[in-house]
Amino acid sequence: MTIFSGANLPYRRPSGASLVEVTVGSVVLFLVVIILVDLGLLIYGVSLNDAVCRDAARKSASGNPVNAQSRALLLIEQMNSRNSGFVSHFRLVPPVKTEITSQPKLRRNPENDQLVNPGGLVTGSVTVTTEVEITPFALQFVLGRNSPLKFQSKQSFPISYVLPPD
Amino acid sequence: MAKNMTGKRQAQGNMIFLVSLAIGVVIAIAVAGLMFNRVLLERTRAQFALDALAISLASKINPGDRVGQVNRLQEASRELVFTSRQAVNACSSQELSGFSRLSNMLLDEARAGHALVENERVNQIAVIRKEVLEAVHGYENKREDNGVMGFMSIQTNHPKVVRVDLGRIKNVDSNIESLDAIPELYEFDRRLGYVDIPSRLFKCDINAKLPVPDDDLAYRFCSLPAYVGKTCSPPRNTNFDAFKSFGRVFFNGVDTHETLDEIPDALQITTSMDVDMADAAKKQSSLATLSTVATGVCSGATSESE
Repeated sequence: MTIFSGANLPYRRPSGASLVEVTVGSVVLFLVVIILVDLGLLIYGVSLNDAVCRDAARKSASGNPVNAQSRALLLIEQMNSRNSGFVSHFRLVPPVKTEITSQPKLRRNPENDQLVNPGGLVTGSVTVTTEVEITPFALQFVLGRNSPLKFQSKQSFPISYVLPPD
Repeated sequence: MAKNMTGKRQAQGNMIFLVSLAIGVVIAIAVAGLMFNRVLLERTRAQFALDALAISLASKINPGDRVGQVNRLQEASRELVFTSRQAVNACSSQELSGFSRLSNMLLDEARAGHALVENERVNQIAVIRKEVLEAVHGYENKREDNGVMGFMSIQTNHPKVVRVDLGRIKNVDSNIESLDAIPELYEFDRRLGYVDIPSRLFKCDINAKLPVPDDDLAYRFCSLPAYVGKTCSPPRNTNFDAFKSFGRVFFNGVDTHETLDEIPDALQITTSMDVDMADAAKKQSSLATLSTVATGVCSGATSESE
């Protein structure tokens, strides 16, 4: 029995052909969605790392510049313990760079001839670099890499500290 | 012919078309999401950069505690005029005519000293204004050199400073404590509400006039976080609604000539950031203009009032 008169093609049911098309199309759609999810994860991770770096820069710039690195480390530790989701391994890339442009100069006390700290504003900036490692679900196979992808963020913030007088 | 056109369509290929359409829609939504995310990310970065700029500009207001020193000079001049007047009154009431010339001379000197202090106060307003404007122009020149940042046909321009206001933070008094070394003056200040009773700090935004006949002299203390318990307030960011403007000093790329009557202790910067979209022919079209505001407060006094 033939449907098309004069044709020698074997009979194919339309529902079967559609099934094949949907199957092939679904596989492609699935791959596209997986890749988009991975891309989203990467962008989320980069944004989060950016935010952590900004917060770390702000935190390390607020206070005595001598302890800038320890303040940044503390904040990153807190962020790592709080973000228990997909991305939670932020790392401080040492050193925290502190650039001081002005600070109060020691003055000689005329009464006892000793140097005293008059106190005053310390100006400059603190630069913090943070790194995050992200292991994408499918892109890793596409890229053929075994190690996670690493992203860095670098942020600077002006120092806000007033050295107390002696 | 008509029969062929209205006849049953071939079922094969429909699903391929629908699946391709679905993939296209998913990709289009994802790209739109990425672009939107990019714009939001740039806005956050711009706000961060603006906060940093506000703090660095605010640091230029009170280096070396110059604002605090002007306040202290005001207080010292005020006390000197008051005590000189007391001496003149004492000489006349006790009929010490030999001392009255000397006491009048000291009073005249004290009043002349107030004029010098007032000149220095006005000079400090001009110096602060000049230094802040220099820093703003420095930022604007650097911004133009840096160009734009591009990503997926979206170009984000660096934030452009639109407006800079100098002013003060609400509910912050001066750094000068009213001492009871001169009880009559302390009582007078309390009675006229020049002093915040719990903190004993002089209020700002007032003219702390002396009693008649020295009420022609104006004493204006400016707002500045006081030095409390060996702690000095560092430069910082604060909420934009805590700011009270004394006047604009910069607007749309031009320095303004608005007069400032008080020494500021804070500033507010408004910036705009253009987000452009380039089409295939690399023709730019404006997608959005994002506005950001940041407020910076200067460092407080670094020593106690004496």
